[in-house]
Amino acid sequence: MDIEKVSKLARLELNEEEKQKFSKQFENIMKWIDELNEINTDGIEPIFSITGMENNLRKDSEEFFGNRERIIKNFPNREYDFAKVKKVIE
Amino acid sequence: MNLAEKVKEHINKIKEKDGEIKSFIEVWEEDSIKRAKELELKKEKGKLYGKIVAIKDNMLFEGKEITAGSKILKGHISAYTATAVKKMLDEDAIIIGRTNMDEFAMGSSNENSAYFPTKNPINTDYVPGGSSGGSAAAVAADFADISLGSDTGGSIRQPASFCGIYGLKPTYGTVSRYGLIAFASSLDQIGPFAKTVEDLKSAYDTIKGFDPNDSTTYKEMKEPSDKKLSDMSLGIIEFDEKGCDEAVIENFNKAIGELSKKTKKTVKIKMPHLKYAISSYYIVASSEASSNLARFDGIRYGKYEEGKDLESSYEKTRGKGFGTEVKRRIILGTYALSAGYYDEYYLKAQKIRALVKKDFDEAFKTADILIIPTTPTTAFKIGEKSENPLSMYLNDIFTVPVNLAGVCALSAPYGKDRKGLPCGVQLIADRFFEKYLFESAKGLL
Repeated sequence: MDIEKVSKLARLELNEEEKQKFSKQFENIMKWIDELNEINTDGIEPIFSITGMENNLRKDSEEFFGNRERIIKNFPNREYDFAKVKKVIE
Repeated sequence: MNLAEKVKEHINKIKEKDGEIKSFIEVWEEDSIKRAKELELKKEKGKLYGKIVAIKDNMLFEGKEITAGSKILKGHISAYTATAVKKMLDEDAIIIGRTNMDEFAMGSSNENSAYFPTKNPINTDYVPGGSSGGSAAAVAADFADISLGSDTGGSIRQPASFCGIYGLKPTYGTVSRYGLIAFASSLDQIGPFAKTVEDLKSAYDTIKGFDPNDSTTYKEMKEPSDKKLSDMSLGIIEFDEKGCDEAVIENFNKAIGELSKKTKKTVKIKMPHLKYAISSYYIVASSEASSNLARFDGIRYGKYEEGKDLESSYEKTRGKGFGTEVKRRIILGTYALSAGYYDEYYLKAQKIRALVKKDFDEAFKTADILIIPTTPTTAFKIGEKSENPLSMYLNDIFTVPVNLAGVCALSAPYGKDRKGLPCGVQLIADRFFEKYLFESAKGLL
């Protein structure tokens, strides 16, 4: 596993110690996970919904949430009623 | 004794003993006493009136802090109340506080909490299990009558077993996950802990039901007809005893002896894919976690760490905010879902999941209830497994198949080992057949 690449994909900073420790642990974990290849799964349909339900959607209508201010208060950086983010467009 | 006095008594007990056990992250003393006084005046009382309840720190309760045992959410205040919690309140339960847990419910010992490890009330040198270890310990120590936990791969049943109490993992889709901080959405399910089967059942009856806010809850739930234990057939699941404690096997065999006297017949059940469930589980759960936890980016909630641009701010926020086990699983899940590996890992794991489910479907053709130990060992010492993730993962070997198959299971306390640590047996029933679990658990009394 290219831990540098995967941590970039996950937007997750790891320090040197973590990188080394994880690389070693993943070697064991992946070896163990490879036992899955002992089973032939040709023709088996994978399970994506354990209940068997599909597209259980509600009516597309607006509902009043009622506690907007509380959500806004949780923003780490706020300006007026907006979550403030770093510049994304040059 | 009136209700407010009962609440005060519990709070005093927490103040006296929880300094050592550390089952709670926060206790809502004033609110609980105030609510008790209000409830006393109500003319018609709900069915959980008089019950003191603790909730795991991953269920929203409007106006209260919630952190999922993580530093990344420290200071986050719930903007609404989780459906399961609301249903408990609607039946007049008193929610006394939020309990400690492994960060984002990832762990089997509560040592992965970003705050402190909870200790087992039976013996404080040992872990209470996890990830709902705080909820289990709170009930075991008599701080609460009932508590709620969440179970993704055993996170209710394993700590129930380690702490010597009852724990229920309901059928997937019967209890709403609205307001539960997600770990692995296709596996997560909220369920109760209690010291008696009656309390366990009344908590489950309270929290179950369709919720328009959770599209994975069943609109209609099958209501099985009553069946007496003496009309049931007991299926004994065959498993590899290697790696199991002697006391676990001894007590398990005693439990089988007890139940086989009371049931109509016993059958032996072979589940050929059981041994592959655990590795399949770690792929599925970690993959879903890597996706679910992408929302913790420092923009809308919790801790924010400034970087030189947006991307590095994400990386720093997450790198500093998450603990080791959470990082390990995000990396594992991201890898399993990444281009070139998806078929090999994620898809393969979901196919094996189908085979595990088939094993259960076959088993329930001949048995009403299945039995297997909850865990291969009794509680381990604090620190014993924390540096060896693989050995920690293997502790869930008997619990994860149930989550993969979406069926229901209950851990019942049964016997102790030589050190006095509790053993648990796991009873498993088909989807919607929780009733059979309560019936058979009573048969073990």
